[in-house]
Amino acid sequence: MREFDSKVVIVTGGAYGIGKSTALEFARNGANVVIADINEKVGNATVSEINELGSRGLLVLADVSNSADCNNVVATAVETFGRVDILFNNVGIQSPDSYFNVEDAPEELWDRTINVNLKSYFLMSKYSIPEIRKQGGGVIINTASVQGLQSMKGVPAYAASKGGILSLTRQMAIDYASENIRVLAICPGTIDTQMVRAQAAREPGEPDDTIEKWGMTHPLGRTGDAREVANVVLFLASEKASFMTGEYVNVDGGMMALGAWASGSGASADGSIRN
Amino acid sequence: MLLEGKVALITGSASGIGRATAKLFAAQGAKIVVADINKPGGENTVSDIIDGGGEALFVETDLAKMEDVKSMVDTAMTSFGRLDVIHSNAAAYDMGTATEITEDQWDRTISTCLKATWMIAHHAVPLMLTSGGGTFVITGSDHAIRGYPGYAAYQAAKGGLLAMTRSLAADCAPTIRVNIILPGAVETEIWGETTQEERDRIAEMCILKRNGRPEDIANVALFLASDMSSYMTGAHIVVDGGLTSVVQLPETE
Ligand SMILES: NC(=O)c1ccc[n+]([C@@H]2O[C@H](COP(=O)([O-])OP(=O)(O)OC[C@H]3O[C@@H](n4cnc5c(N)ncnc54)[C@H](O)[C@@H]3O)[C@@H](O)[C@H]2O)c1
Ligand SMILES: NC(=O)c1ccc[n+]([C@@H]2O[C@H](COP(=O)([O-])OP(=O)(O)OC[C@H]3O[C@@H](n4cnc5c(N)ncnc54)[C@H](O)[C@@H]3O)[C@@H](O)[C@H]2O)c1
Repeated sequence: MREFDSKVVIVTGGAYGIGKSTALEFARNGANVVIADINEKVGNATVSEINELGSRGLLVLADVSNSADCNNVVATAVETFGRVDILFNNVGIQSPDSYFNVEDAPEELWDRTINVNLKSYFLMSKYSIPEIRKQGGGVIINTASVQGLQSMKGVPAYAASKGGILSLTRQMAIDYASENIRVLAICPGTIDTQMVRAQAAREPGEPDDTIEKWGMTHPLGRTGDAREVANVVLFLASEKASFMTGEYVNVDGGMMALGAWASGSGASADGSIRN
Repeated sequence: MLLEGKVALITGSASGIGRATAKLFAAQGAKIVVADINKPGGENTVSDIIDGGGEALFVETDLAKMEDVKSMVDTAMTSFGRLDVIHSNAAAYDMGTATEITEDQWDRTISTCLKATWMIAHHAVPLMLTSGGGTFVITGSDHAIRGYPGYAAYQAAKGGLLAMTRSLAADCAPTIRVNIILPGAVETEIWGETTQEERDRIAEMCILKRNGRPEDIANVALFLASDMSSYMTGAHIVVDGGLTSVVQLPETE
């Protein structure tokens, strides 16, 4: 008996990156997985990988900032697999050309970022909760970001969307605790995905060097792998985390542990402080 | 098994959370060093582990004493040859406001709740670094992030642990990962004579409407001790059934 046998998981933004890795990890542990994504080609490839693991995968094409699309994701999930147990709200956009302060940020950029990153979490939860309730409870995991806790220049909409996710997580945890629905958030640091590759491509020099440089700002001295985030999501969704709700967990190679003035990777292997 | 072939040292494992962690880590393949000041309790944990087919050793230790901590670490090394996981978990404290508690009470609480973790790190980190690293898990408390009246020294100790976790993490990266668990209300021996009525009142404040069990914390300790959390260091995990995620307001209805 595997941890998620007979469970049905919905993953938003599951074609690429953290969503994909988590979808595969759930499948490996017995769950059937519904991927809600805008990218048909890559989404289908992820579904094939899920099927190869012996679980059933399903792509529902959706722009999750759209209410009707979200409703359709849940309806199709129930039609196909008969139930929903776990919702992984993970979709997120931060395009390389989105770096503006509030004065310069176009209103459309604000709306798009808030709608995809935050409103979709509300919409997907709104439509999934009635189904999760029918199973006597379940878990909602939300992908926030370390940028929901501390920020950098030029990301007002993204940072606001991620801070909003943390508040929404607490709120839903309170509202649904009595119905045995736990709600938790994760705050990833820099994870080597499509999104981060696209951002690295806009920096001067080789993207690999840029990513290595970004990795050095984390005490573990490297960027994370999507699977390392997936492992945390599976843990939070499992019975092992049954006394956790309303909280967030940082998966950031130690980044949030560092003071603003401290240098990135803290020490060399012999324990001496590296500058 | 998540800790196959590892050696884990767990302090305060004669009872409560530490005892649950010791049994869980053993079931996941680790050899366990049970360190506690309570001899009968510690020996009990060891015999439970051995009865379950595991390997364990009790080391009687007063964690407030430097020489005890050093010999605890040395005994772990001579007995098992390595140290991969440390769960610094023991605590004993005196209650009281800053004006009420005496200097001795302050010192005693700070020693067992805060200084002990530093002493363990001081002796064990160099050994862990030479044997390729590992994981260091600390039991803090929600007292590190919320205020409770009448716990002056304990609050200071637990807040100190949270801050020290971050610096230890930075100093030991990337070889040793250091993370801290902040439990809320977990029913263990430390609750002493707390009445059932009081226990129920606290459970009611948790949004999951129950107090924690030692196993709830042990599961999170296992997660942090294992490769499941390989990109986490310097982090804290609150395990409190939602106790600290709500503001306790009078009922509006
Ligand atoms: N990679 C990082 O360093 C990092 C750090 C912190 C937080 N995050 C967060 O993690 C989450 C996943 O990010 P990632 O790095 O895996 O990104 P990614 O770009 O690799 O994947 C995002 C996925 O979302 C899909 N998507 C985008 N817009 C959509 C829409 N409107 N409707 C449906 N699907 C849509 C994309 O097709 C893609 O499959 C995001 O919420 C992101 O903000 C990532
Ligand atoms: N139970 C809770 O509600 C709760 C909440 C938050 C944090 N915590 C923390 O969890 C940890 C474990 O507590 P517990 O609830 O399992 O309590 P417990 O009393 O059941 O266990 C604590 C153990 O530490 C040992 N100990 C105390 N002083 C020692 C010393 N000087 N040297 C060696 N061993 C010593 C005790 O003998 C005992 O076995 C503590 O750090 C505590 O502060 C507990």
